[in-house]
Amino acid sequence: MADNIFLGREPLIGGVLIDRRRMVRAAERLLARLGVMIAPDTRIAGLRVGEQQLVEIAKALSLNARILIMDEPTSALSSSECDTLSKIVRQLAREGVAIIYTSHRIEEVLELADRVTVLRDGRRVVTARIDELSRGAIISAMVGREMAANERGATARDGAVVLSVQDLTLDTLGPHGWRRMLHGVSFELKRGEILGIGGLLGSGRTEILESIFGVARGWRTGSIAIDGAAVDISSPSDAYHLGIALVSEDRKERGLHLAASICDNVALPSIGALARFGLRTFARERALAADMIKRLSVRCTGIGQQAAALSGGNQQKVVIGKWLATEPRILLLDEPTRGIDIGAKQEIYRLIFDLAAQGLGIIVVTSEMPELLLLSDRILVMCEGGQTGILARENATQETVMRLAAPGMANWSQEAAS
Amino acid sequence: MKALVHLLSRTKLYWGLLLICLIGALISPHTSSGHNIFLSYGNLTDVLRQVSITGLVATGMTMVILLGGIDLSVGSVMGFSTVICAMLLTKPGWTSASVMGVPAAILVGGAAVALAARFVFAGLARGRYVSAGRRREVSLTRWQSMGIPGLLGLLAAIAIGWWTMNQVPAKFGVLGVLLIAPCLAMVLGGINGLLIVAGRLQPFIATLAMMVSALGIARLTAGSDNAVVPVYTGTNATEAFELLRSMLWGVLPVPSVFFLAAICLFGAILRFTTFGRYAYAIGGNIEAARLSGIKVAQVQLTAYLLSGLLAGIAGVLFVAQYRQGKPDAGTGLELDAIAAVVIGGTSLMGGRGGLAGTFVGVLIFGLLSDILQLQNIDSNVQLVMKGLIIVCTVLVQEQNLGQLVARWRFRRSGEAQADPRTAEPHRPPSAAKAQLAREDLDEAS
Repeated sequence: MADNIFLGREPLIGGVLIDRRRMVRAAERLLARLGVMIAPDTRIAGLRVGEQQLVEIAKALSLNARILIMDEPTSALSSSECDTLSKIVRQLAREGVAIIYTSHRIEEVLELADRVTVLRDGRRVVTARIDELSRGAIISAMVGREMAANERGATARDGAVVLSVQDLTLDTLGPHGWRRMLHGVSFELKRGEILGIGGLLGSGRTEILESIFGVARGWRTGSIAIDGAAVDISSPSDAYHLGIALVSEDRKERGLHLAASICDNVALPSIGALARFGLRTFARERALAADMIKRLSVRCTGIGQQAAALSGGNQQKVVIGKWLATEPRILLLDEPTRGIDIGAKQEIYRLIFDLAAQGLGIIVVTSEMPELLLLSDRILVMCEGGQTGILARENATQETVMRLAAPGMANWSQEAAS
Repeated sequence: MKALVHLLSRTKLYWGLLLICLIGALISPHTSSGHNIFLSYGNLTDVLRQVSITGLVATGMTMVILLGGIDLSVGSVMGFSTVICAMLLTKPGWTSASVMGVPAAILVGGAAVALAARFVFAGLARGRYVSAGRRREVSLTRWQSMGIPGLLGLLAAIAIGWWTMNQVPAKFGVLGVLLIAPCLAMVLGGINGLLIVAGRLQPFIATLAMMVSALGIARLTAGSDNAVVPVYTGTNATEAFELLRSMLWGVLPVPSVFFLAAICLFGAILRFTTFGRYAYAIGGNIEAARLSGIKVAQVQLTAYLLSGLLAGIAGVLFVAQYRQGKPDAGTGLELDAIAAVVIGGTSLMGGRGGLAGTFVGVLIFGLLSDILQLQNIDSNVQLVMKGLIIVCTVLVQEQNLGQLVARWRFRRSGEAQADPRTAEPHRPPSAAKAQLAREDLDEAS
């Protein structure tokens, strides 16, 4: 971590040797300022995306810049980390640093900004002081139209359990020996149900999905049953054959082949099933992709467009589309709306409701509390790898979820970091 | 205009090839009767013949590199294959070559037949389900997936065993070496693949190890360090082996037929099969590919197997061409192959490129050395020229030509208007940053 923060500007002894002690101490100070309790000699690869983001912010702080540009600094942070960050941002502003802060989260903008500029489709729509703009005005400027409020549509739940997980445990071999990432996780997912998983960053939310999908690194115990029959899932290929789909947290790293076309991306998991004697059926692949982009209203020039050229929201739709094309029965969504604009978010919410209405069992992991409360029929709350409770929709509020997610509120940031 | 630039940019590789041909034709010496030597049919087919060995190896290399891997062992594996091939042709009885080769052929042949049978069953079964409108994959019965393929594989293995054993007391014929040498090379390729897939080794490391040890194995097989096993068709080896260096129907040299066939076959595989799409997907984003349910390990293993296979075939052709087998026959070949692949526009990061590019890349190298030879230029100058060509083509390849033109235009228009944003002086950031960082550190200590 220290190496990353001071890359290219390492403190030197005699102009050649790196002064590690000074570097580590300086890094410690910076991280303490951010409220991150991670040892500065931890490897970046061992950190979660959110923690990496904090390191990146520490690096920016270490430059003591006069102008600080932050592009979606909180998109991967949990809410407690966001609070720390906003404190730092305000403090920096008081110290005379000019800050350009880009964000999809309107609450943040309203809270932090002095002046707001709204961009849409690469053009400036409006620039004004924050007190001149209401929340609704900002949203309509962003979307270009007034948004309707969200409503969870009527759900058709027939009560049949499609997925049941019993006593799931996961141990991962880290740099400091084996670590228990999950313990005692048990739940059931019914057809047409949306199960939300809440909890702080690093509480094991993603690991649950990865365990079900057969990609979790480490040693897994516990049983998973689909439609009541115990199954053994040891690879994504097994999961795929059982009708499970995972839309992962990091769409660029793990979801898309960016250099390939939309068509190739959407068809990728399905081409094996579409092909005969290993020969691809291009017409079927194109039809599949065209059908998907229509169904998900992906905004693009055509199915031949490169995935890298799409906006975040549309890329996310492509990733979801590629899994819907496999006709799954269980859909696992990890941060499905991370880093996408509010218009696309609404569309994805609507899509999730539609899919649930069609009888898919859906599990959603999200760091955004309003989203969690909006989407979920039930909420499973995680804390430090353990399951602290399952809340029904009626009982779920910000407060009840948070109480389960962080029982000891006092040392929050430590938990988020560990 | 934009469309034209785009077209030029997409086909720039072929323009390079054309340019080299033009240069070659223009500066080529003429025969006494006034014929252009470079453009003569004999010269052009000779170029094809000469590039065939590198070309075959580069074909396998392309697939490995597309997957984001690399195969450094192909040169040594080819050298090993030449030794095996030459020994099988010239030495009767159970020599070290036949002791290794016969079991390898039985194993690889049997496995290939079994897998092919299973593939056919899978294809038939899936076909039925697709037509019924269902898309989920079907599982074969145990009898279909294991029983019948296993039985067929066993039969094939027995047949191959019987056929090769019969040839051992005498010497092997053309078909014998064309079967055994590539099979042995495939075993080495398979070891590469297993090290990478199951052992989680970096492809660079695994194949580097194979590169070193295959050379050793080849020398041990040949019996001495700088052994050369000469092959004189008609005297110490079968006359029929001459076939592999002759002209096919007087039109094309046989080695180049192998090369062209490999390019077409594997080009089609990359373009039209799921294997090809998986290869690109894995090279493009291995994590996304794995999460998409692709059996990444299987695809990777196949690519290294094929790379070994093609290196093995190249070894047999080498023996035919140069009438000898020697352990160091392929020294440096892997780098020539990688260079050809890279010139052809295949990214070393994987996921981008193809065999058409590799074909052109191989030809560019072949034509270049032909032109320089016709000019009687020192072969060391050729090496320097090769290096230059690599750098130039890759520079042009990596920079999108259209982008280059656009940037150049933008800059020119910017200069004309004396853009105030760029004209504004700014203090050198490095000094300022260093200063700030130092302050920060002092505070800390």
